[in-house]
Amino acid sequence: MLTFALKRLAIAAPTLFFVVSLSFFLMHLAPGGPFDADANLEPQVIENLKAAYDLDKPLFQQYLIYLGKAAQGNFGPSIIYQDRTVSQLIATGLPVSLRIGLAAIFIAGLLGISMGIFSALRQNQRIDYVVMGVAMTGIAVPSFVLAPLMTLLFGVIFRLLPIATLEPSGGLARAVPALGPMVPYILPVIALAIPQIAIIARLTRGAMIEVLRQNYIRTARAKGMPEKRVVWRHAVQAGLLPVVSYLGPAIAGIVTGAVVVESIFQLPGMGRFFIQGAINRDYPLVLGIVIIFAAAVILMNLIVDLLYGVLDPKVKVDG
Amino acid sequence: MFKLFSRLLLVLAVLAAPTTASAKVSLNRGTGSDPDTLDPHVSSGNSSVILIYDFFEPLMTLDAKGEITYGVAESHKLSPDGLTYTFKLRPNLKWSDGVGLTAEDFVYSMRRVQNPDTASRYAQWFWAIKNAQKVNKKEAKPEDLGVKALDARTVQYTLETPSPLFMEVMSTFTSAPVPRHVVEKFGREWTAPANFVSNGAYVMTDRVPQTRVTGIKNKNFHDAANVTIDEVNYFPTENLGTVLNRFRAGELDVALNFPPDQIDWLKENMPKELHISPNLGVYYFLVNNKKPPFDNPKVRQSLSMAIDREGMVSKLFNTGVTPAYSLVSPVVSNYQVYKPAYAAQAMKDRMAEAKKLLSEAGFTAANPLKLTLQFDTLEENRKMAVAMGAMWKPLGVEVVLANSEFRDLTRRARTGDYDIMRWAYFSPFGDASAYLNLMRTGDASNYSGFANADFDKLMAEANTIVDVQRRAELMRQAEKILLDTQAVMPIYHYAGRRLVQTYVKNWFDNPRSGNLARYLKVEKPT
Repeated sequence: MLTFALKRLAIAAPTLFFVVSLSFFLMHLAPGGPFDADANLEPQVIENLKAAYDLDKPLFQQYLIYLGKAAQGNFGPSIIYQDRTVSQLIATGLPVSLRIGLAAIFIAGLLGISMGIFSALRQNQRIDYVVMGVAMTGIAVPSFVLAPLMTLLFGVIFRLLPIATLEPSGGLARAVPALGPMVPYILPVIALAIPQIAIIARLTRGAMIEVLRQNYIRTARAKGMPEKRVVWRHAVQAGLLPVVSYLGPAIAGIVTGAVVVESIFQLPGMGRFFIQGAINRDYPLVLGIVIIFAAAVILMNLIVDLLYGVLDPKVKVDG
Repeated sequence: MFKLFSRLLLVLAVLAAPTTASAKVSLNRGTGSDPDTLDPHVSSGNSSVILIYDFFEPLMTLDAKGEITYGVAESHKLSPDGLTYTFKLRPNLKWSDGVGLTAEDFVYSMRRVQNPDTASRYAQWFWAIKNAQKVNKKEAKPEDLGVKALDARTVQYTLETPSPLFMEVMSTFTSAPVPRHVVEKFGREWTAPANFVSNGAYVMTDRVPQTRVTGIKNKNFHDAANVTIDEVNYFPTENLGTVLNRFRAGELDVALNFPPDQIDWLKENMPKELHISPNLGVYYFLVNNKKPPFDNPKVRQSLSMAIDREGMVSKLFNTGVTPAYSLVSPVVSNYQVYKPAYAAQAMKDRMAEAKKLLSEAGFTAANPLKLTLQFDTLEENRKMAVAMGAMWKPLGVEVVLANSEFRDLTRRARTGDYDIMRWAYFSPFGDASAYLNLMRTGDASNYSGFANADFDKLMAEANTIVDVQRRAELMRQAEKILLDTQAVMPIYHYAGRRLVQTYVKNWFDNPRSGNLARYLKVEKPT
């Protein structure tokens, strides 16, 4: 298992290099540079600006300079936030994204898997339709509708929760001071979790139904194993495989860019930096986030593969 | 079920009502986009301007009503030849860390602005100062710059030519001084909260990008005795829907924008909080003066006459913008804008004349004028472009609407790759020359290709004389040349749209949007 993990990590380096190189040239292909939105500037001033970010040099030379610095962990200064480095921005954005992303995935996993198992065991009964109907709604209502509705309801009308500030405020924070710093994250986490709950519930249900029809389940039942043990020992374990393979990239995605939710709740997460960076052609910022995103995807895929070895006896993870 | 739930929530809300009122007075402002940097010399302006004015004070600043007034300077003298400005600083000035602020700080600051390594965007505003442009091009040493400290409280600027805009330039955010002792110690990091030192009414203590900047009252500020708000929080408000919700929930005391489609609801439900007032922006169409057939003034006039600005402004926008016939904003000081004669005509007569002009230029039903109208992705621009197609149709004009990203639009403007495109200008100065200078031959910002020797001559004189009346007359003649040939097509003058809570007092709407926190008062009902 260790050799497998090490091998995979060894492949990660060239993958990252490829992703960075591709992103670098694609970014520069997009029309317009970082200073093109500043109309009415004198040519001399634009030259000074370009020189300050090495943008006056030939593209390939810029690429080499970037690679050299990035290899040492220096992602350079941000172009939008002129007094910050990309590393500093990622250091503020990543913890926020991790916090809301992991909390949302945890809640979504817990609720989604429970709902899925619950439904699968009552396949085609009325309660199954109700649960799956609710799940379908969760997938169908996009966050840019759900999140503003929640802020209107809990922020403006009931004044229970803060809308877009990281300071604990609103009725709930005063009623239960112990919640303290968690309060501002409640709405974003819910908004982020709801579609995931729905997706996970449907995945779990589908997989569980298929597993419950397998011969080995019939065998287990036939030899008189208690139903509880059949479900929890045999069916659930195998039924979770598709969920696990979904969760890997989903975690990487949510953690690195819950763009819509971050924008509505004005959270300083990675997603907003990424979008702002792309719109403003902040090359170093976008590349820095791409590296983090690619690394997260690679890492999560590795974890998923390792988990497969644990969950599925047919899969062997070794060198 | 929902009723029960909402009742439960209401009960909770009442139980949790605030119990203690804190003595600290704070103001929560929305800033629009996220401020880029608080370094006055390198900031690109936009949303940072509000913060920089609260944190730094230049020689000249804005008063409560947005008019230019003395800031760090207490008086100034102008030499009879109009070339030497001598500013006397207020006594006992200090930076927020207690270090004395002297005339040397202003010398250092202007050298820093012009140093090409600083890469200051608005270094160009100060090129009237002797050798400034040369220093910015590395053709002269910083010491050759026309700025001198005569003594600790006197700073003198020597100009290349007289500059009627100079006092206004000295009130811009980029003219603010920066603390040399901090900048040289920390370099680029000097604006980090732990290092930050400033000379304005507030000093920044905390900054989380995309979330919040906090400033607290600067005890060393010369007018600290009259500053009543202890703490100012600045929140980026890019998501317009969120802004309105936050304002309604009381999280924001002042907001700079809101969803335009909510204007009717706001007029109905929050008329006291809604503030709409003209600002210095103008929305106009650039016409490619170099490209046939748009090089023909008759074609340009015809197209401009056919635009029903009043109808468009009232039906399409309804957000406080006003129809524009002049490039210069009507709210600038000491200037009466020029309007072409057709502005007063009825639309029916205008259409008849527009048709006549177009046929004189050789375009008829058999040979229709074809053009591409460029605009960038924004709902308001799309509406505008569609309306334009409809208004030009009766003339027999075939319009192709082309949408692109703003950066691509700018590229097209710079390279002359367009027929007609939507454009806008937000002047940093409340002076007509700022607008008209954009149309001078060879000006870096002249994207229309308009070139007229008489216009250039008038502006060259207007830019170097101090006589207010003569200057206004020259500029009006220049604007007449511009608009009689319809070298550009003004569409509307922008308006600032703000939400201000009724308990925020001393708020005066003004075109420069200078509502410095030091003048405001927060009087929340108890």
